[in-house]
Amino acid sequence: MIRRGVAAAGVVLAVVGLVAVAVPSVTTMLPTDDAVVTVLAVVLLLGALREVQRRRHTEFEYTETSDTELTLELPTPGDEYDRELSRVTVTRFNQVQRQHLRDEVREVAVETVQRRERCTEEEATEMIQEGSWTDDPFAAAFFTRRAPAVSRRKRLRELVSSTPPFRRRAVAAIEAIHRLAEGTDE
Amino acid sequence: MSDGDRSDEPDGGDPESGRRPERSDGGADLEAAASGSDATASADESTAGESPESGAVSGGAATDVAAGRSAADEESEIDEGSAAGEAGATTVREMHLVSTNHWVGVATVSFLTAGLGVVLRSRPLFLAAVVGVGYLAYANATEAPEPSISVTRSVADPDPEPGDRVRVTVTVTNTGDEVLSDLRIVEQVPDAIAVVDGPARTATALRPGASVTFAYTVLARRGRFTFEGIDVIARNVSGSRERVLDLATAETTITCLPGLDATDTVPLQGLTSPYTGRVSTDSAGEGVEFASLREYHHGDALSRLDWNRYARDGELATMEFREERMATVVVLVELRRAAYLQVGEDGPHVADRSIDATRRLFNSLIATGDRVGVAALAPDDVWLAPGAGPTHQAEARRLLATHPALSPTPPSGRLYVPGYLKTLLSRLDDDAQIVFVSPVPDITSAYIARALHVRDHPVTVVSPDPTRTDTPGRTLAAAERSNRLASLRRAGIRVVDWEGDERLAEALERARRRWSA
Amino acid sequence: MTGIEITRRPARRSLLVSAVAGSVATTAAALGSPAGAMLCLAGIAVLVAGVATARHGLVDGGGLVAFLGVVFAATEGATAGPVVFGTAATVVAWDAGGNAVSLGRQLGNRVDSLRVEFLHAVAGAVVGLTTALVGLVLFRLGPTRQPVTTLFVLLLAAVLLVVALNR
Repeated sequence: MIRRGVAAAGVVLAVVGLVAVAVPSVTTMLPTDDAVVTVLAVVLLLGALREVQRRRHTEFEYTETSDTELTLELPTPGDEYDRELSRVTVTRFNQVQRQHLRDEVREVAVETVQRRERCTEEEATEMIQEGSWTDDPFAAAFFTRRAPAVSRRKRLRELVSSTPPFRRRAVAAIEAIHRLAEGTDE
Repeated sequence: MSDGDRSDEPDGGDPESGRRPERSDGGADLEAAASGSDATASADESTAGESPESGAVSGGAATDVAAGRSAADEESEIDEGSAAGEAGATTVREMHLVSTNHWVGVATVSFLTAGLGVVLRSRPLFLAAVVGVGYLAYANATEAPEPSISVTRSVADPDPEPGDRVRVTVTVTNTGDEVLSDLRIVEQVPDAIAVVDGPARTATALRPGASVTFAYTVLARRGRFTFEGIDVIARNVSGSRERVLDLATAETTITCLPGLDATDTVPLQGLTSPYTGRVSTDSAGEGVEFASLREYHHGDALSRLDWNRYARDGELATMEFREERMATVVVLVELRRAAYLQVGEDGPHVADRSIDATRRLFNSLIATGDRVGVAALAPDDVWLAPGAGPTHQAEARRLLATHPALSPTPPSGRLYVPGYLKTLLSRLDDDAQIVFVSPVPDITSAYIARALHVRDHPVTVVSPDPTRTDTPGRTLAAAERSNRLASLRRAGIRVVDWEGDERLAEALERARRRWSA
Repeated sequence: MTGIEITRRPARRSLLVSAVAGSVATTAAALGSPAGAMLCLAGIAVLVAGVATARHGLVDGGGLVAFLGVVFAATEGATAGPVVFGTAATVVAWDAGGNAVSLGRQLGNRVDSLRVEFLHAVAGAVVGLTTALVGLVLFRLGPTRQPVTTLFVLLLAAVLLVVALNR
């Protein structure tokens, strides 16, 4: 509706203007006193303001393109544990988290020992508690929480090496478990 | 959408079939037969300087497009009616027309200058307003063009080793008669493949017959990956309107599978038990298994007597046989979110491996005469009841190639296990056996395998190994999985532990030897 | 391997087009008044910054300020030529800037889009130049020097018509 009104007004003015080009005297008939002029000016300037607002409020609607170069990042089993392990060995005063990690490994250890030694869960737990499930002293120490049964020199070396003891023992335990699990085929 | 090769032909590594993809969602077929050949001729001129490395691929290079009928499959396209079947043809899958709002607000120029011009009676300002009017008209004068495009893609090495960098070269030609002044092109790179050099995009302006070539490098990983689409955005000159097209192009495949693992079938001895089915096979005399001896009864067929025993002991005994019967098998593939894994940073996607194995196991089982069905352990319902015959096979092929649940992207929903089991058990025939293709990533898989096995559906697990042992966490997960598989074996379920680099045929053979030992 | 992720911003080179158009505008404004030129320059700087950071808001704002600079120069008594060409140049700079940002967002900064951008900007410049010249010529060489009123009436008619027909 407004559109048609504006179009009509435009057409009328176009006619008038073109006539005025031919017959200059027509323009003298048009109202040109200050009042009219001011009103026109104000209307136009308001129109300008409206256009600016319109621009500010219109969203850009051109198409977004996908990130086609990227690929799916899927996890590999065990990635979460690695992340937690790195976090724990970096910070201090995190006994709860360490216990949690230790428990996760313990669970797998018990299952593996049960499977290989064909014993009950209680027996397996006991073996792990005592450290008799593996030959690797560091692996055993991970669960017994006592010092590993190695020479003083080796123990010293463990303390000064760049790998924190918790991590080294955890890795030793995990490797020992894996060796046990991959043992002779059933 | 599966990354698997949808070609029906044996996978001899023919990546460019030149076949038009079978999508008929009403998209307009864009290539014009007559102007097609003209366009490809000029495409040769403009790309003569560049030489896309097409390697062993025949249908890829622009020069071959002019030759037209080079690949053998092209012959079969002639009966499809049009001269299409040239490797460059594209089909529109989806099209959107959008107003970009690029020129919104330009009327400010006219309004402001006119308004001030009135007050100041300034001729320059009025003339400036005229400029504004001109831009207003320009902004709305034209519509976004409808591009007519042919796309030719070539791959430097369609048969790479995992970890190789493969260069993909794409040539886009304007086969219509409109000038395309603002084209923005984005390749649809398969989800599972990463681009490691150069964006797979370009911006160009093309006169009719002109073409542009761009290239990028992808990192090959184990599996089969098909490039089959491209996104094109065409704008009008002023930039006020945009037409977005999702085009399907000829398929180009990169296959990175160990030698014969690219076949459709695998040798299956011993995978399923052929003697527990309900329906007798027609082939009498073949496929009988000795079951037991019993005392001779007068009237027993002489051919059934155990003559060796008579010769040895002088006693007559009749042999009893179990006839081979058609087995009913359902191949159940694990596609829960937990099963979407990859083997290390550069290893294959396990779900892809599983789906590929499912396809091949299905083909093999049905070839031996069994009734085979397909199901998936996924939030979406995937079920094809066991059957036999070529129609059934075709239906299975379609399902494996196009079902949305069988895709390289993980599902978003969760699976309610008890409900799923109930539905599955109600659908299974009493004597149905299950081949369960699953990496066994957690106890749920083991639980399901046991639940089915215990209800008299013998289960054989084919398990692609998702684990690595390069970090402590991963080693722990590997040990955990090893325990899980062992517990399945203790429950009487056969397990094929399919290692990372092994061919499926080798894994099956290894397992078969173990079972018969 | 996750693959490269494109940076969704215009390439460095894309700044050129807008910068060139912007300097034309500034020069035009300078012919009218130094203050106007300063304002124009400030606006262009903001516009170019908007292109560099792929922000449409800055491009629009900068364009508006630059345009105001030209208008200010006009009010300070600049002649028709500079005002008209200055306006056209401002619009071209703004148009090219917006186009560069859309290209950056859709294709990233590693795509060589210079040719496309150049074509687009030239098309816009042609439109501006043509209307400017037509306006100048018509009303300089009309049968008599047309009174301002006539100009105004015709202009208003044109504006109304085009706005009404605006899609």
